[in-house]
Amino acid sequence: MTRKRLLLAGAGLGLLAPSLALAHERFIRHALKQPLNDLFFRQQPGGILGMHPDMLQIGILATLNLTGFLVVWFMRDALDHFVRLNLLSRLRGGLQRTVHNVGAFLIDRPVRVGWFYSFGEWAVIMFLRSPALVLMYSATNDSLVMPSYPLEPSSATIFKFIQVFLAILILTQTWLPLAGALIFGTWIYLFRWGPFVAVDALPVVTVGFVYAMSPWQSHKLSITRLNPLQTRIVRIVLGLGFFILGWTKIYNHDLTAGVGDNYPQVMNDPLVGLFAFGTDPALRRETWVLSFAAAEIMSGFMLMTGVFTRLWCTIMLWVFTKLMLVDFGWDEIPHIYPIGALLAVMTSNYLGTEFGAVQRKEREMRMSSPLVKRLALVAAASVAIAFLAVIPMLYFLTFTDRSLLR
Amino acid sequence: MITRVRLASPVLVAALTVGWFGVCMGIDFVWNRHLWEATARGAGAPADTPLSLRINHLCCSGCFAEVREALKKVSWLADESIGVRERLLSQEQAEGAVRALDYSGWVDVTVPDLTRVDFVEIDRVLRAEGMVASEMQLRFPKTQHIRFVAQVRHLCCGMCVDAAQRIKEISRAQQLGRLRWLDSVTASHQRKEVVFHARYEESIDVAELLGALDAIGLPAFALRVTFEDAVPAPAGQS
Repeated sequence: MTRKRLLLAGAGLGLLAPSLALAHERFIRHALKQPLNDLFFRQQPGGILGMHPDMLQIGILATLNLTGFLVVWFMRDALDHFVRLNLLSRLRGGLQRTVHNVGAFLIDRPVRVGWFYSFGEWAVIMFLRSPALVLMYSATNDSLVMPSYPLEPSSATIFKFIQVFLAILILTQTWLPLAGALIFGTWIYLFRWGPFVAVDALPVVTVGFVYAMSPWQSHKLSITRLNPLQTRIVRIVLGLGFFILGWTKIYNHDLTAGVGDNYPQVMNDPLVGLFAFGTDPALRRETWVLSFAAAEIMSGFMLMTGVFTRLWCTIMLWVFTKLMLVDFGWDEIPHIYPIGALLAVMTSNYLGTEFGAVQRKEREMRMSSPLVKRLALVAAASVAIAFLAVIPMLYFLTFTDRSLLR
Repeated sequence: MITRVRLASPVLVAALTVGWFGVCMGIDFVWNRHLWEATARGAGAPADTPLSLRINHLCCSGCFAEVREALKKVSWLADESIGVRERLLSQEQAEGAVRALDYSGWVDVTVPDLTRVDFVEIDRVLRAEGMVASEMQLRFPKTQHIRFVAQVRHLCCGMCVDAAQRIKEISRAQQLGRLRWLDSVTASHQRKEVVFHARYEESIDVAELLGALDAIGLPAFALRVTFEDAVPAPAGQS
């Protein structure tokens, strides 16, 4: 009996190690139709950095793409100045205001238009309440937090009631700090089922921060705006979620390719096709997995660091809405939550960037240094940032063997 | 009317989070006890025995003797070590016991060459002795790329091939949480053969696969494991 207790205690500690946890399956069909070439994702003898040439090409394309966006971002003040002098000055009235507002939208400056402000208020309400819908949907589908992972039948009922309780707190906006703590605690519990379950649910943690920062009397208040700190946290956590999810798509390449096998239309995305351009057609599925992941890594990184936040929010809104309404249908209805989160960030007038230092330096040099020197600084910083964001992790993943998956 | 807005301190939120995590783990421990016990059992498996059979009827040393006798009839197991993992009651002790507490037990088998193992044959000889293995845990290095090849007599048409390839769906293995290790399936009715490609795992329960084949009406007359690369190397690589 003592031995059995010891074994159980050992098992308890072991549960924190992901390799011992059991796997849960996704609702979206993802069974591979044909085996994937696993060796493509591993170290290759003779290749540069030991990577398959097509993998390296996609990594370099993603790095260059990111570099391009960063250069334009760091030079956006100069571009704004140029547009004001050469375009806006020639326009008048409503057209001038419209062009100015579109420009402000694209470079994350405040958009001071009544309807945009009202839409932003509605987006925050949707963002704060939509998790309740996801929880209710998960509860009715025997799942926990995300419908992707079914509950163990023996504990399903109690967790379903807990989710309904949490959903009621959210819908009635009662004790939101408690709701935030419940979301955090439940998310940590998801590690019990493996790190990839928790990573999949990471975007849900975003709203937990806003709840935790809300007043205890939240039920008596109308929360319609996120303050600058909340906006920053939501942007960073949401972006980090997509960034990590992108990397897990490469690590768990069979699942990603399996989704493509079952929904071939998702393999025809133009941005993804751009990354895979010129790669070996015999490895179409493998390069698609990488390109798809690279697109998500890039968008997640830019959202996380506040580079063209609104532009990337708009692109991701399009992608999520398309996946929900066109590609996967009802099974992806929980996408309503990230759509709410992206809308809340996109309509915020408190957007900032994590690369303020580069921007400050570029501003300082504006008075004393020629354009070429400023461009050189910006280009060097952009290449370094983009390289560090993509290549080291891609290289590291070639040494992994998916053994953490369950 | 609110006269003073009260916010939660970070420490309080952290404490509530930790507390709630503890509650979730507590619920898990109480309601999902079988998973915790399964983990504890798995931790006890010896590392040097690649094949372990869970025999649900293993009440005493007499039952184990019959299991061993059955397995020794298999030519490639005749000289191998077959041992029981936990101490069993003697026949006399079992006779005196009034309740079956843990009726099942693990039998660990040492097989140097796993490619010789035919899981259908193991199942057949055990059943002939009135025993059955509810689990057949096969362990191997987790980076090893493996596949199972099943010989199926009635794999007669395209419909059978489709059924074999959708085995997880048709056998309800997916809903029951089984065959989680299964990556993909290819079948050929000309060769009467179904190949099951496995994900990287440390252990696989082969009994799940035999059960699923029965469930879809394609019982295998042989099921073997192979360790070759399941796919060719990338273009330009050896």
